Amino acid sequence: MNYLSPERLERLAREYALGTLAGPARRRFERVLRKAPAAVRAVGAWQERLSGLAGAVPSMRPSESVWRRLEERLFVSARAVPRGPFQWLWGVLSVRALVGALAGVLLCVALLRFQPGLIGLETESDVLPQSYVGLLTDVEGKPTVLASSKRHGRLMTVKLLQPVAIPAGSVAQLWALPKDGSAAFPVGVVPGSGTGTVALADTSEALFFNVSRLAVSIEAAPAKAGDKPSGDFVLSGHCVKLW
Amino acid sequence: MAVAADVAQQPQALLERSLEKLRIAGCMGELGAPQRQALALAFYRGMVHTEIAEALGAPLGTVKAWVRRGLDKLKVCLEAAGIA
Repeated sequence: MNYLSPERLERLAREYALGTLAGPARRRFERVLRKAPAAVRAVGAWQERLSGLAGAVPSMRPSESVWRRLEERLFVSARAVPRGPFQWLWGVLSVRALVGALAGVLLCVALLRFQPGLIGLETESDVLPQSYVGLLTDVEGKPTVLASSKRHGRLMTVKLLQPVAIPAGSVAQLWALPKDGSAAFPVGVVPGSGTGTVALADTSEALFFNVSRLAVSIEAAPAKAGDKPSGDFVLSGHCVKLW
Repeated sequence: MAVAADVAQQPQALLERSLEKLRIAGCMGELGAPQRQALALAFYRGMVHTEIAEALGAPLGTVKAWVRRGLDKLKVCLEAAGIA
């Protein structure tokens, strides 16, 4: 269709300027406007004619709410203007924020469920935690030292069930004896009485997995890795897995 | 005391604008009532043909004809009045 025949152009231009050219017809004419200066001139002439009509309208100031709604419809950015006391909440509760919060909650639940030790929490349970435990007796068979450490912990708790006589200038050295009969290795120094903790060189699992017995000897100084007991064991007992 | 000149507020310009308004009002007055009404609803209310037809309770074809003839007359009248 030739939109630029004078008669048709005039008809379309004035209906466009008046606003009664609507729908697909308006969109088609807008495409013509982008390409044909004659169409732009025709529309301009009619807009000028009709602009005189606007002068016949007394000017009115719209109310604040009407103005705001107009802005919201015309400019998307105006929607950011707060509309109520809880408007900020909808900004915070965006889909992305909700997904992020949900992921955080899931991570916390998974962490608490499977790795409570990582954040210093242990699952409360009637069952004792997985631990290595050793009960050492003296030569008469009397329970003397209770040693225990959590399976993945690096601290051993040592409780003296009865005092051990440690000569001045000596220490009570705790040793671990592997079940394959290989050489005993030093674990730490136990106190003469009461309760103490021994810092382990590695996790209990790594140190005691193949250990069947624990023993204590009296040494002149704390043993270092690679040292061997200098004398007989004054205390000894089984090392067992508590799980 | 000197007062800054405002061209739009000069008596001549004010008179021209008043006359123009009068001529436009006159041209609108020359239109038939239905045509004037249809144009007014389109221009002042932003209505399209179907909405005008609904508002005036008239058939769509009739409304289109009112608008068309109204614009025809308005153009002739404004050109005769030397406005457009």
